Amino acid sequence: MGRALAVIIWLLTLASVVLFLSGWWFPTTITEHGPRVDQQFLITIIVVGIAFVAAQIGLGWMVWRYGANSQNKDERALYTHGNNRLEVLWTVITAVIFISLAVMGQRVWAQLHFSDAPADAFQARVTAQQFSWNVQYPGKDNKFGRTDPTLIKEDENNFIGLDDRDPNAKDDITATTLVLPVNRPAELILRSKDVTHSFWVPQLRFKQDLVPGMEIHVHFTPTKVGQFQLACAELCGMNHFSMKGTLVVLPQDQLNDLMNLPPTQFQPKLEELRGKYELGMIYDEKGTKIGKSY
Amino acid sequence: MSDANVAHEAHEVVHRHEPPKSFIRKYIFSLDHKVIGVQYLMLALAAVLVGMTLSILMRFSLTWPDMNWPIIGMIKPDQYLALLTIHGTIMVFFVLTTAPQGGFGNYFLPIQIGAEDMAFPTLNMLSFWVTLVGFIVLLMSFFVTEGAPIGGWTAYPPLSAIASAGPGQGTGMNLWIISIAIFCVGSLLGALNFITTLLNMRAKGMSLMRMPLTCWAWFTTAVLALLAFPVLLAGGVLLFLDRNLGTSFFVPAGLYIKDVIQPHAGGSPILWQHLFWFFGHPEVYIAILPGMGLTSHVLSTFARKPVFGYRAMVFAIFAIGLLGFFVWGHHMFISGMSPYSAMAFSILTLSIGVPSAVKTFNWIGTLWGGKIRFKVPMLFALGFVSLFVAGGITGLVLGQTSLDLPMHDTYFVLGHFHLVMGVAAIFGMFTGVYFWFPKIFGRFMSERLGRIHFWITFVGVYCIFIPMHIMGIVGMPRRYSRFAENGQQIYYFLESLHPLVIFVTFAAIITFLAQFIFFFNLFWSMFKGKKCTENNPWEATTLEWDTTSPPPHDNFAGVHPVVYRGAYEYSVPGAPNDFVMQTDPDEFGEHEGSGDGHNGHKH
Amino acid sequence: MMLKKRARLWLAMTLTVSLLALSFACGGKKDTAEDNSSGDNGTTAKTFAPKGDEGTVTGKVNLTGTAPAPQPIDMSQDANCKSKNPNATTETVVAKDGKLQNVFVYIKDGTLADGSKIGDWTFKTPDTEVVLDQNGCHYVPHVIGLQPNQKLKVTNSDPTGHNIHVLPKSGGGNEEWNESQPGGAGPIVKSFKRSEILIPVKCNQHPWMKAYIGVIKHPFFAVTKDDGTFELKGVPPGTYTLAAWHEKYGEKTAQVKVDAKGTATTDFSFDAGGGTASVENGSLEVMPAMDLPMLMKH
Repeated sequence: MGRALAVIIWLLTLASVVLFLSGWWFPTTITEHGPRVDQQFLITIIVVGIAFVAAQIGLGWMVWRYGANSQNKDERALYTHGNNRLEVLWTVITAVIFISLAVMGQRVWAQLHFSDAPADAFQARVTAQQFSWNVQYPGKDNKFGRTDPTLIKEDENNFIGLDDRDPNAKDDITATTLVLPVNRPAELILRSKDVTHSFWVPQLRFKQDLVPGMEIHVHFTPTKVGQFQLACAELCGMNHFSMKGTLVVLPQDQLNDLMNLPPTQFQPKLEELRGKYELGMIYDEKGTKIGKSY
Repeated sequence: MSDANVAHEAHEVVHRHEPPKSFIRKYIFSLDHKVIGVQYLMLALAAVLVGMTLSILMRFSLTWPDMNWPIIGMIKPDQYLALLTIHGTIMVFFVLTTAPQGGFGNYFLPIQIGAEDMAFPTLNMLSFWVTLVGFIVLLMSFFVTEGAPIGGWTAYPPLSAIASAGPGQGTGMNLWIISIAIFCVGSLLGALNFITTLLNMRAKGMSLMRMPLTCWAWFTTAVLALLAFPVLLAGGVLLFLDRNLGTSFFVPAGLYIKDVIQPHAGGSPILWQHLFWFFGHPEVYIAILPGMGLTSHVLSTFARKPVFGYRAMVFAIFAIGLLGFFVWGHHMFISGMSPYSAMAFSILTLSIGVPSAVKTFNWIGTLWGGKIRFKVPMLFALGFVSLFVAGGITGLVLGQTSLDLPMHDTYFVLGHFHLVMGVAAIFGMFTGVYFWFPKIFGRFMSERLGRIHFWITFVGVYCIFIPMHIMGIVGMPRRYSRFAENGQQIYYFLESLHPLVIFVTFAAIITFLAQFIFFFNLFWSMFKGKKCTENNPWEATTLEWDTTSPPPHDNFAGVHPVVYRGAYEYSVPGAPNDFVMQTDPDEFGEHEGSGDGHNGHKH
Repeated sequence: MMLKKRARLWLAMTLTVSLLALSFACGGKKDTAEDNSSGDNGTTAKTFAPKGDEGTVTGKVNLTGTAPAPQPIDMSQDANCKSKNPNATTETVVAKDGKLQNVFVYIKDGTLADGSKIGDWTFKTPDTEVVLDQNGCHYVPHVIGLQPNQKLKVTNSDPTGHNIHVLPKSGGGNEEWNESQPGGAGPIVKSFKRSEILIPVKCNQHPWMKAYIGVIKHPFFAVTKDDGTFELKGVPPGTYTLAAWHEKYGEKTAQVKVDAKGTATTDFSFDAGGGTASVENGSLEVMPAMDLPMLMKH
């Protein structure tokens, strides 16, 4: 029985390790900080993997080796209450490893969250609602028009309550697609109309809740061109699963052209540009295809 | 001395408590901690059956979203979320909190410390009945207009605060809050009782450091419950006021729901998350600590060895309990909370891995050099260690702020917490059932069925929850009702996961079915199992094995046991047997000097 | 003895708590259970039966001024909508050649030839179902009318999921409901208990989708067609207040006299520059409700 259990434990351990090596992994990252998140994940998962395998092998070995059977039934188990030196040793070692991991894990976090977006960052306001995404671009004047929830008319295409009497709002573009330039810091201003949502594009390695009543500023820098799916990662109601949006990262010149268009011509032009980039593919900063994003 | 003893015992016999005669007072509104313990176990058993069935329905819906099932029809997205909410609530509150603590703790804590009953028997009865009312109220939410709430067991506002935010967020959500509030009251009463009993009612000679580790675990759990549940209760009351009396604790201004601006202003949705997780994280340890204590207990018993590093184990339980109150923020790294406090929470979170690792090392140390008897309870205890490692260790990933960016709210989290607080804790409960069944019912459970149950369940849960980690890495978000609609995949990057989804569903179905072997074994053995005539079938050392199976109404038939040594004196050199009961007054040979529980020898 | 007494007290308290919870749970249902099929004030209700001398009310609804141009709807987040309905536009004002579509015209009040008030009559609930289809991520038709307790059948002809969120006025006797209907799911059949002008319907999945349901206790209502015309049939002779309701321009009324077997004609006219868009009071910016150390400017 003991040996069978040991073998099962080892087999399950082996199967778990094989599954982790089987090729299912993150989609390719498209941001500046992404590779460092991946690297930190890899380091952590290696530490975790070693600890997992060592513990299971150790457990299996004890079970394999120290089973009671007909040969040793007259012997007694080892009588020991433990070893204080060993306790101190393994407490200190695990504490050092775990806390170093925690400290290492802060670096990317600090870079993303402990500083403001650079002054030249491209800005967009993302307003989430049950169950869709709305994006407001400041337009040529680089100023966001005023919004007011009492002005929202969803059946008349005013999803965010943009006040058309505000001069800053005249050239503002509202859309459901998030468009960002490549290799330029992007600052998103995240808001929610109703309940808590979460902005998540797996390829960005970035996630942030959109909390009603708050305006959350975040920034990151996309480094690859392409079309990606935007998902909601915080339970927001019955159709949470289908609250999908699109992120389009464009070469800088294409983005500039697009943003300088009058608001009415934005959507057709965007459709045209989206046609150039296949969903799920990634392209370099000039728009040349370089591979799959997942 | 001996005269005094005789007089003492005679005195006790006079005060022996007889059980009540009427059926209702004996089995229904009983004040006997043992009956209440069994009542709690039965409640948990009923709850786990419901919770498990809901989870299978969820797997069905995820795997075959457009299927029209017999009787229930197509499981719609909102119905899936209702299943999800009630599954989580039932499992966390009415299974993981009731069975290990209310069930086994109630039954065995007084016996293991040599007490006749709990300190407050009436309070004890009340806490069970209050909990049962909570359960019934929760189930009622399925049967009201629009059905059960859809906000998940975390019930984040504003989704949970505004009735129009989704189906089930009206009456169903009110019932959910009432149910949880009732549950909090029941748990508080129980926690008070446990703490008082343990501190005041220990038998002569039962110093704290001679207590079985199970008692330490129940005690720490009770302290956690006493400090955590009031916070949830307060949060629940505030949420209820927001919903029904127009206050705005959690609801900010300007919410645009159902085409109107909601008449609220000035609240913070994040405040609820703080209150909830201030309770919610200790709750995780409320679920797992009793399992840890029991695993230590059973490993020592069946390895025929003292617990390795008893003192370290006690400190580790305490460290986990204490640190457990300072890590709630790791559920909220990306919630909009300050990124600086996220950093602090991250470091504290990884520190809590240290005592958990220490416990694992000590469990393996306990096995080392043992003479392991592979009885079913031992198999489950070993399974607990394996699963606790497998599930707990990924906490090192999720506790890091930067890794939460890709991992938060994905299936990786699902795999992590189901393994560690769900399945490992449930393995702890299985260990308890198979281990203590002969004591509770005076009969053995079938070893053969028990083994079959163990093998399928052990392999099954690995097959269900390890692949979920992979799904999380690929990017599958949790709490999605479906990933395909009309046969079309909604998110292209999840397409490759389809075989894993099917694999997990089949593993879940098989594991689910295997649990009926357990249910059958349990109820069959109650009436037809092999009789257990001895007091101590497992040759264990602690006080519950010093009384009849099942124990009499006052546990020790009027005798007040006296304790002479620590709880885990196995394979003592020079002793006649390879176990020495705690009540055995004889002295044997030399003891190694790790200093655990030996100061009672002066007696 | 002491213990027993206390136990009983606690028991009583537990039972009270559970009963309270129960009554609360059932409380929600109770007020909806009281069914009033006869309509709003059916105290002295007589059931209406046609006598054969009923007339007809016809007319058309004009829109003066420049109608706002329908705006294209960005459906790019749901490919199923987009492929089925590539040129979708907003449907708030649908007008052609100065004729306004989707106006709900109904008899609001009035007196029959025998001097009885139309509000005092009750009307038989038709057996026919009124269908509200979701097609191309629009509601078809955009405006419908039915009688209390008449069956509303909501169907989904799209290969995508919708949710139907019906938003009656609170306290008006009709219940709000919100149900999902995945593509391929069967129809949802519902009914309304009370008359209401008009109940908005929305889909949270596709927030541009909107429909209006008029619930009228009598069958004398119609929705204007694309040429702006309407026709109310089977109207008993009498003098009535005819109302025309539009989602943007509000309600207008006119007096109409229907003779036995006669046809009365009434036209309505809305001004495209007018409207109910009272946007003057808006000052509630979406602002951080709590200026606490959250992720403000980071």
